[in-house]
Amino acid sequence: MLIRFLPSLICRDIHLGLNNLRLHAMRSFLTMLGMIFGVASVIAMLAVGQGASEDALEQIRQLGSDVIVMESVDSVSNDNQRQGQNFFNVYGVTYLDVMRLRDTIPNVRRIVPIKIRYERVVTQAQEIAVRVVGTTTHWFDLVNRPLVAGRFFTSLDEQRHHAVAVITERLGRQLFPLQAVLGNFVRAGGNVYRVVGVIRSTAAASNSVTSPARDNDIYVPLTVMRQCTGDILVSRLSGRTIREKVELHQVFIQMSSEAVVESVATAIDHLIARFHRKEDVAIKIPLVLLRQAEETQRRFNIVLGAIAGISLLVGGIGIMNIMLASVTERTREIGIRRAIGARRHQIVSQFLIETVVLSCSGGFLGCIVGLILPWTISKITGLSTVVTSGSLVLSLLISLSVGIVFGLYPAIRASKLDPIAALRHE
Amino acid sequence: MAAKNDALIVLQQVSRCYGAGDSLISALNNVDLSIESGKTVAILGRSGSGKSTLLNVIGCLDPISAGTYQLNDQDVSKLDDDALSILRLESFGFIFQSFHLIPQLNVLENIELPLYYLGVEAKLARERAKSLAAIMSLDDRWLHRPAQLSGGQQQRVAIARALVNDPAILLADEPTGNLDAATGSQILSVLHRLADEGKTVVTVTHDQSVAYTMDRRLYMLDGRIVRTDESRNEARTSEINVGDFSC
Ligand SMILES: Nc1ncnc2c1ncn2[C@@H]1O[C@H](COP(=O)(O)OP(=O)(O)OP(=O)(O)O)[C@@H](O)[C@H]1O
Ligand SMILES: [Mg+2]
Repeated sequence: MLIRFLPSLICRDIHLGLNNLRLHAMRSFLTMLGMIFGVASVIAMLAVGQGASEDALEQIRQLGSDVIVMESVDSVSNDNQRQGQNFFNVYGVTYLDVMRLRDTIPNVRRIVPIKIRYERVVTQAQEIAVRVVGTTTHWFDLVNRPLVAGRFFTSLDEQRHHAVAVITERLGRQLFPLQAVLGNFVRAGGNVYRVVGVIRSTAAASNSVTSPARDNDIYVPLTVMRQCTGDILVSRLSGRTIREKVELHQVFIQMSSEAVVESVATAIDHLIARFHRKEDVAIKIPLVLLRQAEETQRRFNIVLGAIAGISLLVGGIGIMNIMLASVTERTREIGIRRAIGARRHQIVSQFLIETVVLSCSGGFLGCIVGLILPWTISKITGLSTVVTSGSLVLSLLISLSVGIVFGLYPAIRASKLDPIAALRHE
Repeated sequence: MAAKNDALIVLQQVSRCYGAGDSLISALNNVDLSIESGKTVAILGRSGSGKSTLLNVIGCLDPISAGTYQLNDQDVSKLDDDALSILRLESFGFIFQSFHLIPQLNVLENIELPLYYLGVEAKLARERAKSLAAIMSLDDRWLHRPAQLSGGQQQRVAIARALVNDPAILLADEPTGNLDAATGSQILSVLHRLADEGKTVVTVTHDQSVAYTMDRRLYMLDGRIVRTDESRNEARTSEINVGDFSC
């Protein structure tokens, strides 16, 4: 019989709980504030953490997890050495390295060598800093950036040394605001290229070196770039001359499957170590970076969550405090209920439900604030935030358990009161 | 003393002491009492003589310090807290000296409180509460809080609540204390009707005329029952029994 009426009993208790909360609206609200901010900060922290991790992971993910990146790094650490007038710095991945890789490494889907020059393009209105990227046609398969107009350059362009270029949409607009972009000419680094294609700019401006694409990019056939500009770069920087020879700046090696990535990376490492006397090539594996980033992010989230959890704890203690006060205040009511015939567990459940109603309404309001807060953070700071449904559910569960944990003691205390003494209480 | 097997309530050498050591007060002192089912009993005595305490002991609300209390041939002092609660819930109706209504609840909610703990369906409980409120002439005060009622109205709510679970034993602590003569006699006739239905009624009163409508009168002094009087004044009963209540 009791089982059948249990839902209606609980409904009445919830109703009574809400009634009591309404009776002390101000007090309940202040008590709930603790929960509201606790829950909101949990959600906001998780949202910020999630947003940051998705930002970081997106950059790495752009490359794909089946890719190995070789990068030329300047290994000269000694500045005095660099200062020498005739010092000539030779480092990095060479064309020969790429050929060796082609010959020796199995399971390779494509190898994309990249040569980078930073140039300035002068238009009538302004001077635009651009990145000229010499590469092969495979690059476009690798990064998968959609074509807006025209075409990619082809292997025929490479073989025949056609001075053609594919530029980013944004650069196109900057260079030729009033003219047709396709078929126009762009002069960069002492060479003139005919624009044959326009690709979409990346949405997120990524500054990472491993990032394959930037916004002001001009993609040209590697063969043409090599022929025109050579491998030697002489630049004057704050009064000193830097001479360096770098054949290739980056090489992307896409494997046939994710599984072989790490073993191949070690193989490449050995190969490079054999032919390079200096440590001038860095091997980066986005897959590993991804994993590391995820791991870091996970720990970061735990710390953030723990900090937010403390505020929830404080909210819970506030609730317990107010419920203890409420038990004292309502001693006579408890006495009356007991005298009429309420059993101890019924008193416990009444107070417990009241606390849970309190904490869950706090949790619910906290969820609303928790949705607004990250949105505000994004608007103000520009950080990207992501509120997951999981964090909402988690917060509600936490507020439920806070209600139970912190409500239990006051409820049990209420039920332990001696009915007669409670009735006499004023 | 009546034979044990036909008595509903049997107290033997019951004492109830409050406090400890030097400040020990014995509110009940070696009380012997037996009440048969269906009887009406009035308890009289000076203030502080232990009337309310006796009523609380009978109602399983106050544990006894010494002696034995048998209710329906069952030793009450051996029951645990839950069993006592259920006993109070199912067998007793309490009308407290100071009403003891729950201030947060309105009239109907107060009246149906015992039904709530009995697990009666909300709709049925509401109907029963309404019919009792009607009997107590509280029809127009259903949704008022106790604080919005007069003393007499509060008392009538308390009486309705005591009757709502249809108890076998009604314990009333000065049920007519706050009522005018007419309303008081109406309440009294309700009590007598319940007695006619076979319910046991124990009431504390200072009013001799009320006491004389009962089957038995117990006079208390300093925690003892000093005199018992079983004669019933039929004339007074009929005189008072003019209430126009339909129960
Ligand atoms: N919790 C308690 N602690 C100490 N003494 C108590 C307690 N409850 C009752 N007493 C004492 O027991 C005695 C009897 O109290 P009780 O309430 O039974 O009196 P009463 O006969 O109902 O009086 P009244 O007619 O004024 O209601 C009183 O002297 C009172 O002081
Ligand atoms: Mg009294």
